[in-house]
Amino acid sequence: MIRKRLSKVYERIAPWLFLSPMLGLTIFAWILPVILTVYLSFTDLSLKNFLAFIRDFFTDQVRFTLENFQRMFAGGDPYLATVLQVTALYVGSVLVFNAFFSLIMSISIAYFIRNEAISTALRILWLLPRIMPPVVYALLWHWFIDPDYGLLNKLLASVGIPQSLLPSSWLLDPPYSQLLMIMINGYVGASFGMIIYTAAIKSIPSDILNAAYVDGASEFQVARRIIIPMLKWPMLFVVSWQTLSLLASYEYILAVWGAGGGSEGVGIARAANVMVWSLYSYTKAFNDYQYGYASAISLMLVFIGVALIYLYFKIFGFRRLMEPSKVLER
Amino acid sequence: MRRRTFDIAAKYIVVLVTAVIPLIPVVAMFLWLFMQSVSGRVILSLIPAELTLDNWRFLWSPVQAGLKEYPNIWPVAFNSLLLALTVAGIVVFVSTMGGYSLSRMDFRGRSALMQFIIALHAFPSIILLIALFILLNAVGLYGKGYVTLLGIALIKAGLEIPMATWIIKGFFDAIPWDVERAAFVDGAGRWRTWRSVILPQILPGIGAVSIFSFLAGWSEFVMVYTFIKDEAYYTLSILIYYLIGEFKYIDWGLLAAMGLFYTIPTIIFFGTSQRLLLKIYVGGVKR
Amino acid sequence: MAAQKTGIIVAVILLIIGLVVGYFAGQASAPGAVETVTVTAPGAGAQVVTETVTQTVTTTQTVTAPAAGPKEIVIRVWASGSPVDVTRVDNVERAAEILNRMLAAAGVGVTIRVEKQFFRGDYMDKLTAAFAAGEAPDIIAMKNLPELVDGGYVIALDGYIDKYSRLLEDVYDVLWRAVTYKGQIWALPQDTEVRPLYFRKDVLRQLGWSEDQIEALPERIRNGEVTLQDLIQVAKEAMDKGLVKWGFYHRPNFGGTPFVILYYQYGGVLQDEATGKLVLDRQAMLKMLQLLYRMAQVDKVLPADMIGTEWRKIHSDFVNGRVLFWFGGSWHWSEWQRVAYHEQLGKLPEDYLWENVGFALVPAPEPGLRPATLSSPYLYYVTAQSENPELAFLLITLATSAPLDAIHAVDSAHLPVRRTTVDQPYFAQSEFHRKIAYMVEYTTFEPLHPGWSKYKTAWITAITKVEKGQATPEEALEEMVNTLRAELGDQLIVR
Repeated sequence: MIRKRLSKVYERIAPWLFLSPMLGLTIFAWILPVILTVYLSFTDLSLKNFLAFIRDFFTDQVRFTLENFQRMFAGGDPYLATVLQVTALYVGSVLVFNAFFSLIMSISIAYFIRNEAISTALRILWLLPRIMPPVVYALLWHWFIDPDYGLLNKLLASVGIPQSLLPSSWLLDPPYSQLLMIMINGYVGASFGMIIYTAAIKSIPSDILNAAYVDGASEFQVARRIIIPMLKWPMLFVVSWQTLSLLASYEYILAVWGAGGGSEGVGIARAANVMVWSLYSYTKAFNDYQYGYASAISLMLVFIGVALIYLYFKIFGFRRLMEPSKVLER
Repeated sequence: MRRRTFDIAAKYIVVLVTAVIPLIPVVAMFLWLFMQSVSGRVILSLIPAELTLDNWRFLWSPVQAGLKEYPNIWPVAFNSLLLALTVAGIVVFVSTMGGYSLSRMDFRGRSALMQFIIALHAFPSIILLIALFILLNAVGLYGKGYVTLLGIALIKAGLEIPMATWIIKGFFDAIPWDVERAAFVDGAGRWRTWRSVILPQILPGIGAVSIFSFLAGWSEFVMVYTFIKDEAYYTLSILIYYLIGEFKYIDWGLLAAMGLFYTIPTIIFFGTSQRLLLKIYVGGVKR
Repeated sequence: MAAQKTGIIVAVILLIIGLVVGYFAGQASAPGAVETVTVTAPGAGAQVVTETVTQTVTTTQTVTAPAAGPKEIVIRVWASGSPVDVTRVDNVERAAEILNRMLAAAGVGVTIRVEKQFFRGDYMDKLTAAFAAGEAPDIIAMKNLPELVDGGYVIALDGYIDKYSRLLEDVYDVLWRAVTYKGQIWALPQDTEVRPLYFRKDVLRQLGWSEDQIEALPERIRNGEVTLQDLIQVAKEAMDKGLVKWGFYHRPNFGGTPFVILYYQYGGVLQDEATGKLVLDRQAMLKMLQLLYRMAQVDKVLPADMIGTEWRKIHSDFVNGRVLFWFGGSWHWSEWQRVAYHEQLGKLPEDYLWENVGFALVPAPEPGLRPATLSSPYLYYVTAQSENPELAFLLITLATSAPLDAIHAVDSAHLPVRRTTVDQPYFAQSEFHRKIAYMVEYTTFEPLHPGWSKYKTAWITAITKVEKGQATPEEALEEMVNTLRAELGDQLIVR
């Protein structure tokens, strides 16, 4: 009897036992930092009182304040407008690359090319930028764009682009530097779209396609009239998911524009006009040591992220969100 | 008929323009990495020049810039390996347990929990580094040598967990209930069932997840760069990051060789298991 | 599938074996950091210092190495700088060797071991992290005095300075000003420097200048006979003839040269003597911005995207003769000899520099104004977390004493912080230092104020916009004033 009850209790807590490492890690790596960020964004934590704060969490040297938000919203930080513009450009452009360009690319690879070996080879090549360590990827771009030794300017010149249109430095001259930022991140992100779309294309029932062929449609027409419309949901998913990813991703920008370490990277990123929101928060914290303000900037990202994900759940419904790679009925 | 020819031509143009031509930079960069690493001078095309192994000198002597000596590569590579293995270990352990529970057990809040895991994507901890730093410091996972690497590994593993759990859950979902029921009938408990019956069935999934997380740890850059202060605990990404600043324009050969050295494990893993990875990628949700 | 699996396993095993073997091989072949102390400098005078120091080092090593008995005190020192500034940590190690020898002679069972870390760029983030973890080094070398003091990272040294005043009598008086803040002394000057205008002699020769004219240029700049206006014309001529790609280069980020220098030359003041508040003189600031605007946008002798250019590129372009004038720092003279920037020659022999590169004060921007330069002393601090603050203080006192000061000054082409350093044989043989010494009379300093970094950020933003032509000097100035008013409040006086 007791045994039975015990086993019943066990049945009830077993799932949570199994889940506990995951929950613990999640709380540690996601939840606690968010709570702490909320707290910090209402303080004036900076280099000045950081030591006192580390010694005593509730030290009265750290003031509770709304200044960070005033600064953000009431024009106390004139540079923020630029950051906002750059972020919009960054997220928007890379999205176009990742969602729409990679849609056509995926159709090419997964549908137009019937040779399995070629198709796989192309897919692997497209995955390379994602699989490489970011620092090496940055190194490769540093070489590629070098005006003297790199290939980019030579390639562009060989297809007839006049020297006068080429920048003296891709790294530093806006808008070229911004184009570079978009390319660097676009190549990494394109494979995400590719993965989702490829799976979706493969899951299209072949009788639909065959029926079209019987009607005399060419592959090109099938792609345009049948496949693309069927990829509506996957496309929406890629856009939504990547929006979140991009808002929070600055790793590649830091790796390329900050290479060499030290605080010079901040100046370079500013001069090149590639200072995106998440990177701005990073530099405010780790180059300007304004921890409170940096937290407030991060908090905005958290807010936007949570709002978007809430919206996505509403639009897609949970199940659809989770099955992006299948073609869903409309 | 003419229309048909036109369509076929259009098709190949689309293939070329969207899937092949944009790959030229990627392929060129990769070729350059190989060629430059064995070239004695800067190569202006993709043909190696003045074959030499001198670029690989960092393997037997520390790199020097001016009067500054950078740490020896082997301890640094060892740190990278340690970080990568720790991340992989944590992720595999945590995700197999969590994935099993989500896939196989019925409990209140299961669906909410799954939504929650997905929702975590809204605020990856990479944007919360200040808070993470204070947190690590508060729990004593900061500053004590290798312990800092452990702290970074925990956070990195935490970042990978939602996706890994999701992948593993997919593998559990694919195991027929009958197998498990048979084990139950034999009187095995949940834990034993999990270990001796279920686990072997999802080995490919574990393989994929461990490779993923190993590569994630191996490549990790921002957190190590931000949190590690002592040269003794540098990882390869940080060493190379600094050296790009030292040797750009000066010694592309050395940089290429180091970059290649750092990428070799990635290439090996990816090369030997690309089929598996592609399959997982197709189901997975990862930026 | 099976083959693949085996492949992975073999690969992993090989990798691990390689790493472990390599790790221990690396450990075995890395022979303790102490032995890397090498003083590389030819000349008879050099040898005296070199020998004493190396002797000290070797003797101490034999004394300290095996004995398990004596107590070992670890002093950790962090510093940063260009690749030639490693002496900033090495000199502390040398000081420790001297102290160790004294301790051994006295039979005291204590040895000091120095653990050093040298960073290439700003390391404040690493420092705060170390402080948080309770693992801060004992000694740090950096600038940023007001921030360090206000944050409680470093301790006041007045007590020790009184106690050891005899060891510090020869510190240049003017340098004490740079370490005094809120009425106390917080650091010892580690080095100082001047920021000359370098010029390419070979390019001037190609322009038809005689050898005498070239050699006389620094003196004529010093007298105010040659102004920046004249040099802009020279630069234009050289660019028109295709001798150089650019006439002028300046730093890629904010720095004393040439921005603060020019502002001072136009009569600007940065800190109010009476209140200590920061000052912005509209007239001087505007003129300074107008000059840069003219150079970058009108005469086009300065690249419009100068801010943000990489250091590598700057050095490489100047050293290879693609730029005529370079607003550099004295330490670059040493850097070019120790870092391979030249495309054919690599590290440049000093003879090449004497042949092809000259240096002068930053010329008067216009006739009637004064030439000038700027010094921004690097400082040694004792941190608040040091468990042996007095020992740390003694080490930095010794590390900046004349013999060691001479090593740093010569090897890194900085200026000495002690008056008696100039009598050191190692220093006296340095032709560069003899020739640059007069510039100290023309030097100026940056303000010591916690808001200075914000000021610099706003300033560099204005400069960037003006040079790029994104804003007129007037617009940029207005924006700068508004930003600074918002950020500094009553800590700023606008004149």
